[in-house]
Amino acid sequence: MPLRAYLTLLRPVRTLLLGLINSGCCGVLFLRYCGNCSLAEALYFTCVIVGPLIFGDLLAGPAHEFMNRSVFPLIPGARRQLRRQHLHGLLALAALLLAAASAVPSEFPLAAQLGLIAAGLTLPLLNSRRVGWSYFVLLLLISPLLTTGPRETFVAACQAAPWAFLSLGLLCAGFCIRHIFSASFAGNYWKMSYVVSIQTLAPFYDTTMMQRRREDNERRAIAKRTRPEREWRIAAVGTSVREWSRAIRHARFGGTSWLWSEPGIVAFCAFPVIVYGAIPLVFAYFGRGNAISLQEYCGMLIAGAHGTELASSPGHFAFTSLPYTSIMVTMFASSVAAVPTTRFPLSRRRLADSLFVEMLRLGALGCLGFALAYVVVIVGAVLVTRTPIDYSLFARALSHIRILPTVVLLGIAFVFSTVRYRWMASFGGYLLWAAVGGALGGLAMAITESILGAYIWLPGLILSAWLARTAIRRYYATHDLNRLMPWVARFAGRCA
Amino acid sequence: MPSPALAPAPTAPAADTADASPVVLRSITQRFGKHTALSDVSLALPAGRIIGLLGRNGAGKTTLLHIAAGLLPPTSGACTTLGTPSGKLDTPQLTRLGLVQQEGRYLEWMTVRQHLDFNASFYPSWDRDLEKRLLEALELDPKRKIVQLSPGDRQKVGILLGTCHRPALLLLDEPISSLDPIVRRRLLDFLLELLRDDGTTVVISSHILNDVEKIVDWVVALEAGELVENSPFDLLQESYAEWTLTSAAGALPPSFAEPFVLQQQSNGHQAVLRVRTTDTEAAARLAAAHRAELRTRPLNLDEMFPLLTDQRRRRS
Repeated sequence: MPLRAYLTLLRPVRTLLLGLINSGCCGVLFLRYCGNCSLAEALYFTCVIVGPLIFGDLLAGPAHEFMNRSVFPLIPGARRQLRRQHLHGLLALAALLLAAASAVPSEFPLAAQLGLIAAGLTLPLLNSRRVGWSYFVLLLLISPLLTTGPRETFVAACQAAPWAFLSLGLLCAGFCIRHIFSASFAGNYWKMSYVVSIQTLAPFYDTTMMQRRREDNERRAIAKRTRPEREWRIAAVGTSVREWSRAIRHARFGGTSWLWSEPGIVAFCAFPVIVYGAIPLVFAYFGRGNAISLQEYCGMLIAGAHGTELASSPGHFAFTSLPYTSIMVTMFASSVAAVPTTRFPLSRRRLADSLFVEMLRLGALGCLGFALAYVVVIVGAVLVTRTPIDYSLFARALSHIRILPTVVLLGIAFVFSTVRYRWMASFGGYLLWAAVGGALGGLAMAITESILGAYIWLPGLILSAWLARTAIRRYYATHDLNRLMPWVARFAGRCA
Repeated sequence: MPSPALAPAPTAPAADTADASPVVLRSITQRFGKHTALSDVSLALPAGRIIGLLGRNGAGKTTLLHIAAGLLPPTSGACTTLGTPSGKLDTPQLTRLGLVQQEGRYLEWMTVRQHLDFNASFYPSWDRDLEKRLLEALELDPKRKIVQLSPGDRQKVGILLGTCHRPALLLLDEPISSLDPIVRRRLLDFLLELLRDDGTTVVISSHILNDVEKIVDWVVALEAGELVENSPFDLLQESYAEWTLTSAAGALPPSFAEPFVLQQQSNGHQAVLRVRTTDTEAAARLAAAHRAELRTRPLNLDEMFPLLTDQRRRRS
């Protein structure tokens, strides 16, 4: 494979840009501000651990994508040539990362650095299914290692046995390359689920390739499923919007077990509250020099449940997950639109109204998850600290639970109003959406925790419902019914 | 002045014919970004006919069908389907409309039976007897999951979902391309039956012209997004022909300048011409002019197709 062909696959400018942006956000900024590392430490760990994972994944993506196409096994020598070019890419990146790391003073010996970079650059090759969130999870797991108590142990180990790190890193690299570029793997990979690299998708995520990938993965997931689907027992659907929303619900969730689709959504929307309660606990519990006990942490949670100011301590932090939960609930509710709308003999307006009714139902389930999570966190903290139950503990929780539906409806209105702008289906769009969700949620919290909240709650809810319904109607009035809405094409995934 | 051999460019439908027509398009233009899929298309499909929608790949056939079905709002122009603007089609119209898409999207997790039952609940006119007959004719196992079906069987599912409610207007986008010849024949017979029993207007786009020719009685042809033909099939059959001229007296000219000659091959003593003319004396005059014997043969749709689609280039 000539270098030019490989560079056509790799798209080096896009790769470098994505790598630098991701390393900056997930590496430097995260370690610096969430992990309490110094700037030099954050830069160093990014060059040696986080950066190699990110760049390794960016390098692996095009190789996976090419090997996944049915034409690959038919090209003579393609496997060996791709492996050779991939190795050249790895060496070039390793040299760059090592040079960047050497510019930052550190305690790590060169051999250990090399080993860590080699392992980091090649481990993503094993992500052959291109699961997008896998290296975020890896980064979340590694971050405590770099930012909390075990860090000292890790540094000491690198200093004591740098050659062991080098050997392990090179062994890992050798294994990954050998496995992925083996004849047996390459010979079967084209039959596996459709994969796409991030370079192909970026900057927009609403591409037909993303839709094709979703449909292909959905078909495989359905084909493997053995649990029975729900039966459609209605002989004739009437004319009411409510009846049509039931038909849409069946189309959307009929192939999923009830446990996954209904309680599953409740649990998923409880997730941000639990995570936001747990992350500060992990950092506080394992923190360098200021570790606290579970009892002390639960005491902070109880103090935070009463409080009126926004996040200012780990205890308050758990109860400010509303902006993030609102984004999750909005996404779930909007994913109703992932049904093949051409199957329903409905006018565009009635289709929009039926989808809206179903979105309201899903949104309510999400809000229920949020409410339950709050109750669980408060009751758990009370049990650990053996504090008497006081109903004022639930005051803050109730005020957030009350405002969440309004924020979610505004989020739905925002999603459907902006979906026609292509840049919203890009990384920039996600950031904007997160920022809007966060701003709405923060504003909502500030309002509801004041006396004003009691008066504007109901009018605000009605107005937000009207805005959401109008946005959905306007979207479906002109939308190409053959195409899935971009957000849900990405998010709906295996939920159907 | 346009050549007499070329059909005049199809014009906008007259008001009286438009009223009775199940689909009326007026100056429809559809753009996708910089690409123009349909350009100023105006036509009124005749009711109660089987209409062949022909065109090369990328001519705009699928786009036209999607606009007629109300799935895609046109960039400009107006489309009326079953008397209602296509953007405002509601249950009363949609239950009388059937669409079989080239690449339909289904509820993959359902079995064929489940999907039919699910869809049947939306249509008061769903005919269970017809469904049973079609399942047998198309040889489709209702117990199989849609996700497990081959492309041909998925197409059969689309046909069932689009026809069992006995629509007044049936739009079929490449419905037979993945079917084997036996099943294809049965489907075409079924379409004739629909027309005969219910007076259904059927629009069928297909590249397998030998089969489609057996059932169509009206032809609409598109080329590069423009309408190039909108005529009864009988009229086309009468006007298109292949003439073979054999000269006993001397060499035939290397080319024929008559405007109705669309395609020609000449080797001196014999010339094979493909022509389009409604002038019944033209053949005799040509043979007399060149002192040649002339044999004439009608063209089938497969042979007419390149001549039809080439009209846009010749007109410009």
